[in-house]
Amino acid sequence: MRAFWPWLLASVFCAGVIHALTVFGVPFLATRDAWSRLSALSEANQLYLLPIAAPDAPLPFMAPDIAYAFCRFDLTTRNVTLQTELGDASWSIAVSGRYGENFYFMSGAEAKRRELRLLLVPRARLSEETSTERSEEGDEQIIVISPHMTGIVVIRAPVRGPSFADDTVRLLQSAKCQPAIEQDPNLLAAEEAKPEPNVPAVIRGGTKRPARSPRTQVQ
Amino acid sequence: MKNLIHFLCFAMLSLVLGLGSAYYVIEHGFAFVAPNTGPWKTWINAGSLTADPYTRARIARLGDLPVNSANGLTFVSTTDSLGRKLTAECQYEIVARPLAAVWWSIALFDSDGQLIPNKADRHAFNSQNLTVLPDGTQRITLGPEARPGHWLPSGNHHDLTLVLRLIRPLSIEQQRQGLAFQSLPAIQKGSC
Repeated sequence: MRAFWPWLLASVFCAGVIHALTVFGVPFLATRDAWSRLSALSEANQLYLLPIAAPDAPLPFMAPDIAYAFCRFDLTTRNVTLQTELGDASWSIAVSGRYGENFYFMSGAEAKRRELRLLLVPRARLSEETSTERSEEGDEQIIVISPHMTGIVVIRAPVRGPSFADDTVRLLQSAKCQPAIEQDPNLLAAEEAKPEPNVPAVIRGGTKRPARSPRTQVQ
Repeated sequence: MKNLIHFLCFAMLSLVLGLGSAYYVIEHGFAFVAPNTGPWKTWINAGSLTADPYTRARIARLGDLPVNSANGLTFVSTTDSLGRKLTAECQYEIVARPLAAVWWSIALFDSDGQLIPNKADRHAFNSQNLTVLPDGTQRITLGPEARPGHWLPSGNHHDLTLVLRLIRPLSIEQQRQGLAFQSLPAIQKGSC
């Protein structure tokens, strides 16, 4: 028995190492985290509305009385703009990394304006590129420095009751998430030649479809 | 041979202790990262840039999109106020007082975090549709059979999870002083 004590002490030490490696490794190894689940349903730099109070929601514990819109942003090639209205004090917009860490948050209670326009810029590109983005809003635009190239923007819009759901969804539908337009004439021409505006799509039952009328959004 | 047996015991013990303790802490937390207030538990660092590794692992495993605690608090309960597991077979009364937040809601889920289908299509009550009774409380009845007032249908054969969300709660300083947790709703078990 005495000969086993060193093994016992070694196993406690090794268990500690395994514990630490597991805890630190889970975020990088998880295949069912929010980013992975939403990636299966969406494309980058496009806003999606999730159905309110839907069975088999793509994420667990989604509030049934909140309308969610999300955009997986990818800043690898272009900055990304997000435009939305904040319907009332309880609305909020959160920008987070792919592991859920919020680096920007604004609620309707603290916003000084109803319309919000965010320009997401990676820290590495901040100095040289933000001045070249085309913005009709000028100083109204808020520059959000992203520590990551990819992440998720989530707009949460609490719904007062079923009769308010259509209005809430309609307002959410006016939100946009898209690559920023630079002052390059060729890019500007390409953007203006696009026939369809960047309309939020609606996710139903694990598939994504283009939005039709607000009334069809809520199930 | 003896050394081989010792080594196998060492390897087994290391794996069981290491993985088991990691699983337990990620699943249930401990007081420092996931304090309990009555039946409610909150992962206080969720969504924070400086979140601890246990919280990060928890968020990744759960697949959640958290809001940091300065801007929103999420409390989860799987038991009543006396620590008994919530089940769909029993009636419960949730007794709340208006909470200090811009908006709050209590929603019911199964143990996987999905809504429980019901004919009333009712899954939650919030600060905007709950009435305040003359004694200053707001009461929700939870159970399989319809009840007067604010009734949340619990369906059948499910382990239940209640989620309380507060948007724009008290300041971080007030939260640290425990003020945000003083008046969290009580969950009282009724008949089964």
